[in-house]
Amino acid sequence: MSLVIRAAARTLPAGIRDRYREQWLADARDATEAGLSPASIALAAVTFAVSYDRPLSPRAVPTAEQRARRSRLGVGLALSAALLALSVYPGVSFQGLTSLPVWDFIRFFAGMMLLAYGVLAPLVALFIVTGVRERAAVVLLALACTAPILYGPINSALPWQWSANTYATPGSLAFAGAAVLIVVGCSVLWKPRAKRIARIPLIGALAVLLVSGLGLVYANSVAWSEEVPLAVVAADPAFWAEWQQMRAAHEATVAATLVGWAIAGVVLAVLVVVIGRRMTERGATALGLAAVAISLLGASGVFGLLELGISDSVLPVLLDPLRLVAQVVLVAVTLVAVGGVRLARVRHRHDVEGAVELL
Amino acid sequence: MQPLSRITPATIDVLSVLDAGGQPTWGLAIIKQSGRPAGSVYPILERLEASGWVTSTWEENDERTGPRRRYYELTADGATAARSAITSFRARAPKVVTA
Repeated sequence: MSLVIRAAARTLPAGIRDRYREQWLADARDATEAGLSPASIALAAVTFAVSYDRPLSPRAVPTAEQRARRSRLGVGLALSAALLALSVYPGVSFQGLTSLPVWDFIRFFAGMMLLAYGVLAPLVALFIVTGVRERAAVVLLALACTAPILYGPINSALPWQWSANTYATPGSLAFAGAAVLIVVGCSVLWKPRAKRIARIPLIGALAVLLVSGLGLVYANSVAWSEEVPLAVVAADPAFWAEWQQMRAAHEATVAATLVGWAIAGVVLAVLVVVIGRRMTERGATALGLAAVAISLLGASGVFGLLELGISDSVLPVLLDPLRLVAQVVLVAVTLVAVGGVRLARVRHRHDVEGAVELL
Repeated sequence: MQPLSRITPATIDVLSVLDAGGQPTWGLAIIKQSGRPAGSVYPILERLEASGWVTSTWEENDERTGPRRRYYELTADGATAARSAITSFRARAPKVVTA
Protein backbone atom coordinates (compact mmCIF):
# COMPACT_ATOMS: atom_id res chain seq x y z
CA MET A 1 0.00 0.00 0.00
CA SER A 2 2.85 2.31 0.85
CA LEU A 3 4.25 2.06 -2.66
CA VAL A 4 0.89 2.85 -4.25
CA ILE A 5 0.41 5.86 -1.98
CA ARG A 6 3.90 7.15 -2.65
CA ALA A 7 3.43 6.71 -6.38
CA ALA A 8 0.09 8.54 -6.29
CA ALA A 9 1.57 11.38 -4.23
CA ARG A 10 4.50 11.64 -6.63
CA THR A 11 2.14 12.72 -9.40
CA LEU A 12 0.76 15.65 -7.39
CA PRO A 13 2.11 19.20 -7.72
CA ALA A 14 5.20 19.85 -5.60
CA GLY A 15 3.34 22.23 -3.26
CA ILE A 16 0.97 19.60 -1.87
CA ARG A 17 2.91 16.40 -2.57
CA ASP A 18 4.63 15.95 0.80
CA ARG A 19 1.52 16.88 2.78
CA TYR A 20 -0.75 14.30 1.14
CA ARG A 21 1.91 11.60 1.10
CA GLU A 22 2.33 11.88 4.88
CA GLN A 23 -1.43 12.18 5.47
CA TRP A 24 -2.26 9.12 3.36
CA LEU A 25 0.55 7.04 4.86
CA ALA A 26 -0.71 7.86 8.35
CA ASP A 27 -4.31 7.08 7.34
CA ALA A 28 -3.29 3.77 5.75
CA ARG A 29 -1.32 2.82 8.85
CA ASP A 30 -4.25 3.63 11.17
CA ALA A 31 -7.08 2.58 8.84
CA THR A 32 -7.77 -0.63 10.75
CA GLU A 33 -8.13 1.37 13.96
CA ALA A 34 -10.87 3.43 12.27
CA GLY A 35 -12.60 0.36 10.90
CA LEU A 36 -11.44 0.91 7.33
CA SER A 37 -9.12 -1.07 5.10
CA PRO A 38 -5.67 0.26 4.16
CA ALA A 39 -6.43 -0.71 0.55
CA SER A 40 -9.36 1.73 0.47
CA ILE A 41 -7.01 4.53 1.49
CA ALA A 42 -4.54 3.58 -1.24
CA LEU A 43 -7.36 3.48 -3.77
CA ALA A 44 -8.59 6.86 -2.55
CA ALA A 45 -5.08 8.28 -2.93
CA VAL A 46 -4.95 7.11 -6.54
CA THR A 47 -8.45 8.49 -7.20
CA PHE A 48 -7.47 11.81 -5.67
CA ALA A 49 -4.23 12.00 -7.67
CA VAL A 50 -6.03 11.24 -10.92
CA SER A 51 -8.91 13.65 -10.37
CA TYR A 52 -6.95 16.48 -8.75
CA ASP A 53 -7.58 19.68 -10.65
CA ARG A 54 -4.05 20.85 -11.40
CA PRO A 55 -3.61 24.53 -12.14
CA LEU A 56 -2.14 25.23 -15.55
CA SER A 57 1.47 26.31 -15.27
CA PRO A 58 3.46 27.98 -18.05
CA ARG A 59 5.24 24.64 -18.53
CA ALA A 60 1.96 22.78 -18.96
CA VAL A 61 1.19 24.55 -22.23
CA PRO A 62 4.09 23.94 -24.60
CA THR A 63 5.29 26.88 -26.63
CA ALA A 64 5.46 26.75 -30.42
CA GLU A 65 9.21 26.17 -30.17
CA GLN A 66 8.74 23.26 -27.75
CA ARG A 67 6.09 21.72 -29.99
CA ALA A 68 8.38 22.05 -33.00
CA ARG A 69 11.27 20.47 -31.09
CA ARG A 70 9.05 17.63 -29.91
CA SER A 71 7.74 17.03 -33.42
CA ARG A 72 11.28 16.99 -34.77
CA LEU A 73 12.29 14.40 -32.18
CA GLY A 74 9.21 12.34 -33.08
CA VAL A 75 10.10 12.39 -36.76
CA GLY A 76 13.68 11.41 -35.90
CA LEU A 77 12.47 8.47 -33.83
CA ALA A 78 10.07 7.28 -36.52
CA LEU A 79 12.55 7.70 -39.37
CA SER A 80 15.36 5.95 -37.51
CA ALA A 81 13.02 3.05 -36.65
CA ALA A 82 11.85 2.83 -40.27
CA LEU A 83 15.42 2.81 -41.59
CA LEU A 84 16.30 0.22 -38.97
CA ALA A 85 13.39 -1.94 -40.11
CA LEU A 86 14.52 -1.62 -43.72
CA SER A 87 18.09 -2.53 -42.75
CA VAL A 88 16.86 -5.84 -41.36
CA TYR A 89 16.28 -7.08 -44.91
CA PRO A 90 19.93 -7.81 -45.80
CA GLY A 91 20.17 -10.08 -42.77
CA VAL A 92 16.80 -11.83 -42.93
CA SER A 93 18.09 -14.92 -44.72
CA PHE A 94 21.13 -15.35 -42.51
CA GLN A 95 20.65 -17.64 -39.51
CA GLY A 96 24.17 -18.82 -38.64
CA LEU A 97 25.86 -18.53 -35.27
CA THR A 98 29.53 -18.09 -34.64
CA SER A 99 31.61 -20.26 -32.38
CA LEU A 100 32.44 -17.25 -30.19
CA PRO A 101 30.09 -17.14 -27.17
CA VAL A 102 30.96 -13.53 -26.31
CA TRP A 103 30.16 -12.31 -29.78
CA ASP A 104 26.96 -14.35 -29.87
CA PHE A 105 25.88 -12.67 -26.63
CA ILE A 106 26.75 -9.21 -27.90
CA ARG A 107 24.88 -9.89 -31.11
CA PHE A 108 21.86 -11.22 -29.24
CA PHE A 109 21.82 -8.31 -26.77
CA ALA A 110 22.28 -5.66 -29.44
CA GLY A 111 19.65 -7.34 -31.59
CA MET A 112 17.15 -7.29 -28.73
CA MET A 113 17.89 -3.63 -28.02
CA LEU A 114 17.39 -2.72 -31.66
CA LEU A 115 14.19 -4.78 -31.80
CA ALA A 116 12.81 -2.98 -28.72
CA TYR A 117 13.79 0.35 -30.25
CA GLY A 118 12.09 -0.55 -33.52
CA VAL A 119 8.84 -1.27 -31.68
CA LEU A 120 8.87 1.56 -29.13
CA ALA A 121 10.29 4.43 -31.19
CA PRO A 122 7.38 4.71 -33.67
CA LEU A 123 4.85 4.43 -30.82
CA VAL A 124 6.55 7.23 -28.88
CA ALA A 125 6.77 9.24 -32.09
CA LEU A 126 3.05 8.90 -32.74
CA PHE A 127 2.42 10.07 -29.18
CA ILE A 128 4.62 13.16 -29.12
CA VAL A 129 4.29 14.58 -32.63
CA THR A 130 1.81 17.44 -32.83
CA GLY A 131 2.17 19.11 -36.25
CA VAL A 132 -0.14 18.03 -39.07
CA ARG A 133 2.60 17.58 -41.65
CA GLU A 134 4.94 15.86 -39.21
CA ARG A 135 2.17 13.60 -37.98
CA ALA A 136 1.35 12.48 -41.53
CA ALA A 137 5.02 11.67 -42.10
CA VAL A 138 5.30 9.79 -38.81
CA VAL A 139 2.25 7.66 -39.66
CA LEU A 140 3.86 6.70 -42.99
CA LEU A 141 7.17 5.93 -41.28
CA ALA A 142 5.44 3.89 -38.58
CA LEU A 143 3.78 1.83 -41.32
CA ALA A 144 7.20 1.29 -42.88
CA CYS A 145 8.38 -0.14 -39.54
CA THR A 146 6.02 -3.09 -39.99
CA ALA A 147 7.95 -4.48 -42.97
CA PRO A 148 9.95 -7.01 -40.92
CA ILE A 149 6.73 -8.17 -39.24
CA LEU A 150 5.15 -8.81 -42.63
CA TYR A 151 8.21 -10.53 -44.06
CA GLY A 152 8.02 -13.71 -41.99
CA PRO A 153 4.32 -14.64 -42.42
CA ILE A 154 4.19 -13.68 -46.09
CA ASN A 155 7.34 -15.56 -46.98
CA SER A 156 6.56 -18.69 -45.06
CA ALA A 157 2.78 -18.98 -45.35
CA LEU A 158 2.32 -18.33 -49.04
CA PRO A 159 3.54 -21.03 -51.43
CA TRP A 160 3.02 -18.58 -54.30
CA GLN A 161 6.10 -18.62 -56.53
CA TRP A 162 5.64 -15.51 -58.59
CA SER A 163 9.24 -15.33 -59.67
CA ALA A 164 12.11 -17.74 -60.24
CA ASN A 165 14.42 -15.27 -58.52
CA THR A 166 14.72 -16.33 -54.90
CA TYR A 167 15.38 -12.75 -53.83
CA ALA A 168 12.23 -11.38 -55.47
CA THR A 169 9.55 -12.78 -53.19
CA PRO A 170 6.23 -11.44 -51.91
CA GLY A 171 7.98 -10.83 -48.59
CA SER A 172 10.49 -8.63 -50.35
CA LEU A 173 7.60 -6.46 -51.49
CA ALA A 174 7.02 -5.55 -47.85
CA PHE A 175 10.50 -4.06 -47.72
CA ALA A 176 10.10 -2.41 -51.10
CA GLY A 177 6.85 -0.89 -49.82
CA ALA A 178 8.62 0.26 -46.67
CA ALA A 179 11.30 1.96 -48.76
CA VAL A 180 8.60 3.78 -50.74
CA LEU A 181 6.85 4.83 -47.53
CA ILE A 182 10.12 6.20 -46.16
CA VAL A 183 10.74 8.22 -49.31
CA VAL A 184 7.18 9.58 -49.32
CA GLY A 185 7.33 10.32 -45.59
CA CYS A 186 10.59 12.24 -45.98
CA SER A 187 9.36 14.11 -49.02
CA VAL A 188 6.38 15.33 -46.97
CA LEU A 189 8.84 16.90 -44.57
CA TRP A 190 11.35 18.19 -47.08
CA LYS A 191 12.45 21.80 -46.54
CA PRO A 192 15.50 23.15 -48.38
CA ARG A 193 18.07 24.80 -46.13
CA ALA A 194 20.05 27.88 -47.00
CA LYS A 195 23.34 27.56 -45.15
CA ARG A 196 26.24 26.27 -47.15
CA ILE A 197 29.47 24.60 -46.13
CA ALA A 198 31.76 22.54 -48.28
CA ARG A 199 34.25 20.37 -46.46
CA ILE A 200 32.05 18.07 -44.40
CA PRO A 201 30.04 16.87 -47.43
CA LEU A 202 33.27 16.19 -49.29
CA ILE A 203 34.57 14.08 -46.40
CA GLY A 204 31.25 12.26 -46.30
CA ALA A 205 31.37 11.62 -50.04
CA LEU A 206 34.93 10.31 -49.83
CA ALA A 207 33.91 8.04 -46.96
CA VAL A 208 31.02 6.66 -49.00
CA LEU A 209 33.24 5.97 -51.98
CA LEU A 210 35.90 4.42 -49.75
CA VAL A 211 33.47 2.06 -48.00
CA SER A 212 31.73 1.14 -51.24
CA GLY A 213 35.04 0.63 -53.05
CA LEU A 214 36.56 -1.52 -50.32
CA GLY A 215 33.39 -3.58 -50.16
CA LEU A 216 33.36 -4.07 -53.92
CA VAL A 217 37.00 -5.09 -54.00
CA TYR A 218 36.44 -7.52 -51.18
CA ALA A 219 33.24 -8.96 -52.62
CA ASN A 220 34.67 -9.39 -56.09
CA SER A 221 38.15 -10.63 -55.26
CA VAL A 222 37.66 -12.66 -52.09
CA ALA A 223 34.09 -13.71 -51.51
CA TRP A 224 33.26 -14.62 -55.08
CA SER A 225 36.72 -15.89 -55.95
CA GLU A 226 37.28 -19.51 -56.87
CA GLU A 227 40.41 -19.57 -54.75
CA VAL A 228 40.29 -17.82 -51.38
CA PRO A 229 38.70 -18.57 -48.90
CA LEU A 230 37.30 -21.66 -50.54
CA ALA A 231 40.32 -23.93 -50.10
CA VAL A 232 38.44 -25.95 -47.53
CA VAL A 233 35.40 -26.26 -49.76
CA ALA A 234 37.50 -27.16 -52.75
CA ALA A 235 38.86 -30.20 -50.88
CA ASP A 236 35.40 -31.74 -50.99
CA PRO A 237 34.59 -32.55 -54.64
CA ALA A 238 30.89 -33.03 -54.05
CA PHE A 239 30.50 -29.74 -52.25
CA TRP A 240 32.70 -28.01 -54.80
CA ALA A 241 30.49 -29.22 -57.65
CA GLU A 242 27.38 -28.12 -55.83
CA TRP A 243 28.88 -24.74 -55.14
CA GLN A 244 29.88 -24.28 -58.76
CA GLN A 245 26.30 -25.05 -59.75
CA MET A 246 24.90 -22.49 -57.30
CA ARG A 247 27.47 -19.95 -58.39
CA ALA A 248 26.44 -20.37 -62.01
CA ALA A 249 22.78 -19.96 -61.07
CA HIS A 250 23.45 -16.72 -59.21
CA GLU A 251 26.15 -15.33 -61.46
CA ALA A 252 23.92 -12.77 -63.14
CA THR A 253 22.24 -11.72 -59.90
CA VAL A 254 25.55 -11.21 -58.14
CA ALA A 255 27.03 -9.28 -61.04
CA ALA A 256 23.96 -7.06 -61.22
CA THR A 257 24.08 -6.50 -57.48
CA LEU A 258 27.72 -5.51 -57.52
CA VAL A 259 27.19 -3.10 -60.40
CA GLY A 260 24.09 -1.71 -58.71
CA TRP A 261 25.97 -1.26 -55.47
CA ALA A 262 28.79 0.56 -57.23
CA ILE A 263 26.31 2.90 -58.89
CA ALA A 264 24.51 3.42 -55.59
CA GLY A 265 27.80 4.33 -53.91
CA VAL A 266 28.59 6.94 -56.54
CA VAL A 267 25.03 8.36 -56.44
CA LEU A 268 25.17 8.51 -52.63
CA ALA A 269 28.49 10.33 -52.74
CA VAL A 270 27.15 12.86 -55.26
CA LEU A 271 24.03 13.36 -53.16
CA VAL A 272 26.13 13.98 -50.06
CA VAL A 273 28.01 16.73 -51.88
CA VAL A 274 25.00 18.29 -53.59
CA ILE A 275 22.54 18.17 -50.70
CA GLY A 276 25.17 18.61 -48.00
CA ARG A 277 26.18 22.03 -49.33
CA ARG A 278 22.73 23.35 -48.54
CA MET A 279 22.62 22.03 -44.96
CA THR A 280 23.88 23.13 -41.58
CA GLU A 281 27.15 21.69 -40.38
CA ARG A 282 25.38 19.24 -38.10
CA GLY A 283 23.04 18.09 -40.85
CA ALA A 284 25.87 17.70 -43.33
CA THR A 285 27.98 15.72 -40.87
CA ALA A 286 25.06 13.49 -40.12
CA LEU A 287 24.30 13.08 -43.82
CA GLY A 288 27.85 11.94 -44.48
CA LEU A 289 27.74 9.46 -41.61
CA ALA A 290 24.32 8.24 -42.71
CA ALA A 291 25.67 7.60 -46.18
CA VAL A 292 28.52 5.61 -44.64
CA ALA A 293 26.02 3.59 -42.65
CA ILE A 294 23.93 2.94 -45.75
CA SER A 295 27.07 1.85 -47.58
CA LEU A 296 27.89 -0.54 -44.76
CA LEU A 297 24.40 -1.95 -44.99
CA GLY A 298 24.87 -2.28 -48.73
CA ALA A 299 28.07 -4.16 -48.07
CA SER A 300 26.23 -6.34 -45.59
CA GLY A 301 23.55 -7.03 -48.17
CA VAL A 302 26.06 -7.94 -50.87
CA PHE A 303 27.98 -10.16 -48.53
CA GLY A 304 24.72 -11.80 -47.57
CA LEU A 305 24.01 -12.39 -51.23
CA LEU A 306 27.44 -13.89 -51.64
CA GLU A 307 27.16 -16.09 -48.59
CA LEU A 308 27.23 -19.14 -50.85
CA GLY A 309 30.80 -18.26 -51.66
CA ILE A 310 31.99 -17.65 -48.10
CA SER A 311 32.78 -20.40 -45.66
CA ASP A 312 30.37 -20.74 -42.72
CA SER A 313 33.01 -19.84 -40.15
CA VAL A 314 33.95 -16.59 -41.88
CA LEU A 315 30.48 -15.40 -42.84
CA PRO A 316 29.02 -14.43 -39.44
CA VAL A 317 32.22 -12.80 -38.32
CA LEU A 318 32.16 -10.62 -41.42
CA LEU A 319 28.50 -9.83 -41.72
CA ASP A 320 27.16 -9.31 -38.24
CA PRO A 321 29.60 -6.72 -36.91
CA LEU A 322 29.17 -4.80 -40.14
CA ARG A 323 25.41 -4.92 -39.89
CA LEU A 324 25.22 -4.05 -36.19
CA VAL A 325 27.61 -1.13 -36.48
CA ALA A 326 25.73 0.17 -39.49
CA GLN A 327 22.37 -0.15 -37.76
CA VAL A 328 23.48 1.61 -34.58
CA VAL A 329 25.17 4.37 -36.60
CA LEU A 330 22.05 4.72 -38.71
CA VAL A 331 19.82 5.18 -35.67
CA ALA A 332 22.22 7.57 -33.92
CA VAL A 333 22.79 9.68 -37.00
CA THR A 334 19.09 9.94 -37.78
CA LEU A 335 18.30 10.99 -34.22
CA VAL A 336 21.00 13.68 -34.34
CA ALA A 337 20.34 14.97 -37.85
CA VAL A 338 16.57 14.68 -38.02
CA GLY A 339 15.48 14.36 -34.41
CA GLY A 340 17.64 17.23 -33.17
CA VAL A 341 19.12 15.14 -30.35
CA ARG A 342 22.26 16.72 -28.92
CA LEU A 343 25.23 14.52 -28.21
CA ALA A 344 26.86 17.32 -26.22
CA ARG A 345 25.86 20.77 -25.14
CA VAL A 346 27.49 23.38 -27.37
CA ARG A 347 28.51 26.54 -25.53
CA HIS A 348 29.24 28.79 -28.44
CA ARG A 349 28.16 28.37 -32.00
CA HIS A 350 31.37 30.04 -33.17
CA ASP A 351 33.38 27.21 -31.60
CA VAL A 352 31.53 24.69 -33.75
CA GLU A 353 32.00 26.69 -36.89
CA GLY A 354 35.68 27.08 -36.05
CA ALA A 355 36.01 23.32 -35.56
CA VAL A 356 34.30 22.73 -38.89
CA GLU A 357 36.66 25.13 -40.59
CA LEU A 358 39.61 23.21 -39.15
CA LEU A 359 38.38 20.11 -40.93
CA MET B 1 -13.72 32.55 1.94
CA GLN B 2 -15.11 31.61 -1.46
CA PRO B 3 -18.52 30.10 -2.17
CA LEU B 4 -18.47 26.50 -3.36
CA SER B 5 -19.18 25.98 -7.05
CA ARG B 6 -21.30 22.93 -6.23
CA ILE B 7 -22.61 21.36 -3.03
CA THR B 8 -23.30 17.67 -3.40
CA PRO B 9 -25.01 15.35 -0.89
CA ALA B 10 -21.56 13.99 -0.05
CA THR B 11 -20.34 17.53 0.66
CA ILE B 12 -23.29 18.04 3.01
CA ASP B 13 -22.42 14.81 4.82
CA VAL B 14 -18.81 15.93 5.31
CA LEU B 15 -19.88 19.41 6.47
CA SER B 16 -22.33 17.80 8.89
CA VAL B 17 -19.59 15.70 10.49
CA LEU B 18 -17.29 18.70 10.81
CA ASP B 19 -20.07 20.89 12.23
CA ALA B 20 -21.18 18.25 14.70
CA GLY B 21 -17.63 17.69 15.92
CA GLY B 22 -16.96 21.28 16.87
CA GLN B 23 -13.26 20.55 17.16
CA PRO B 24 -10.41 19.37 14.92
CA THR B 25 -11.39 15.98 13.49
CA TRP B 26 -9.10 13.32 12.09
CA GLY B 27 -9.60 12.89 8.34
CA LEU B 28 -10.18 9.16 8.68
CA ALA B 29 -12.84 9.79 11.34
CA ILE B 30 -14.65 12.09 8.89
CA ILE B 31 -14.60 9.31 6.31
CA LYS B 32 -15.93 6.83 8.83
CA GLN B 33 -18.66 9.07 10.26
CA SER B 34 -19.85 10.43 6.92
CA GLY B 35 -20.25 6.92 5.54
CA ARG B 36 -18.80 8.14 2.26
CA PRO B 37 -15.89 6.39 0.50
CA ALA B 38 -12.43 7.79 1.12
CA GLY B 39 -12.09 8.47 -2.60
CA SER B 40 -14.96 10.98 -2.32
CA VAL B 41 -14.09 12.54 1.03
CA TYR B 42 -10.45 13.45 0.29
CA PRO B 43 -11.35 15.60 -2.78
CA ILE B 44 -14.23 17.24 -0.86
CA LEU B 45 -11.94 18.17 2.03
CA GLU B 46 -9.38 19.50 -0.42
CA ARG B 47 -12.03 21.66 -2.11
CA LEU B 48 -13.38 22.93 1.21
CA GLU B 49 -9.86 23.81 2.35
CA ALA B 50 -8.98 25.54 -0.93
CA SER B 51 -12.17 27.63 -0.62
CA GLY B 52 -11.44 28.65 2.97
CA TRP B 53 -14.30 26.73 4.59
CA VAL B 54 -11.94 24.39 6.41
CA THR B 55 -8.46 24.50 7.86
CA SER B 56 -6.26 21.53 8.59
CA THR B 57 -3.35 20.91 10.92
CA TRP B 58 -0.98 18.09 11.77
CA GLU B 59 -1.64 16.17 14.96
CA GLU B 60 0.62 16.89 17.91
CA ASN B 61 1.31 13.52 19.45
CA ASP B 62 4.82 12.79 20.63
CA GLU B 63 3.98 9.19 21.49
CA ARG B 64 3.12 8.21 17.93
CA THR B 65 6.08 8.02 15.55
CA GLY B 66 6.07 8.00 11.75
CA PRO B 67 3.71 9.93 9.49
CA ARG B 68 1.30 12.29 11.24
CA ARG B 69 -2.47 12.37 11.06
CA ARG B 70 -4.21 15.36 9.52
CA TYR B 71 -7.00 17.08 11.45
CA TYR B 72 -9.72 19.24 9.91
CA GLU B 73 -12.05 21.88 11.38
CA LEU B 74 -14.39 24.48 10.01
CA THR B 75 -13.25 28.12 9.98
CA ALA B 76 -15.49 30.68 11.65
CA ASP B 77 -16.96 31.79 8.30
CA GLY B 78 -16.95 28.20 7.10
CA ALA B 79 -19.01 27.08 10.10
CA THR B 80 -21.67 29.70 9.37
CA ALA B 81 -21.76 28.85 5.68
CA ALA B 82 -21.83 25.13 6.45
CA ARG B 83 -24.88 25.42 8.71
CA SER B 84 -26.64 27.52 6.09
CA ALA B 85 -25.82 25.01 3.37
CA ILE B 86 -26.96 22.06 5.49
CA THR B 87 -30.23 23.77 6.39
CA SER B 88 -30.87 24.81 2.82
CA PHE B 89 -30.06 21.34 1.50
CA ARG B 90 -32.34 19.61 3.99
CA ALA B 91 -35.15 22.05 3.22
CA ARG B 92 -34.88 21.18 -0.46
CA ALA B 93 -34.56 17.47 0.13
CA PRO B 94 -37.72 15.49 -0.72
CA LYS B 95 -39.75 14.46 2.33
CA VAL B 96 -40.22 10.77 2.85
CA VAL B 97 -43.81 10.02 3.78
CA THR B 98 -44.38 6.88 5.76
CA ALA B 99 -47.76 5.27 6.15
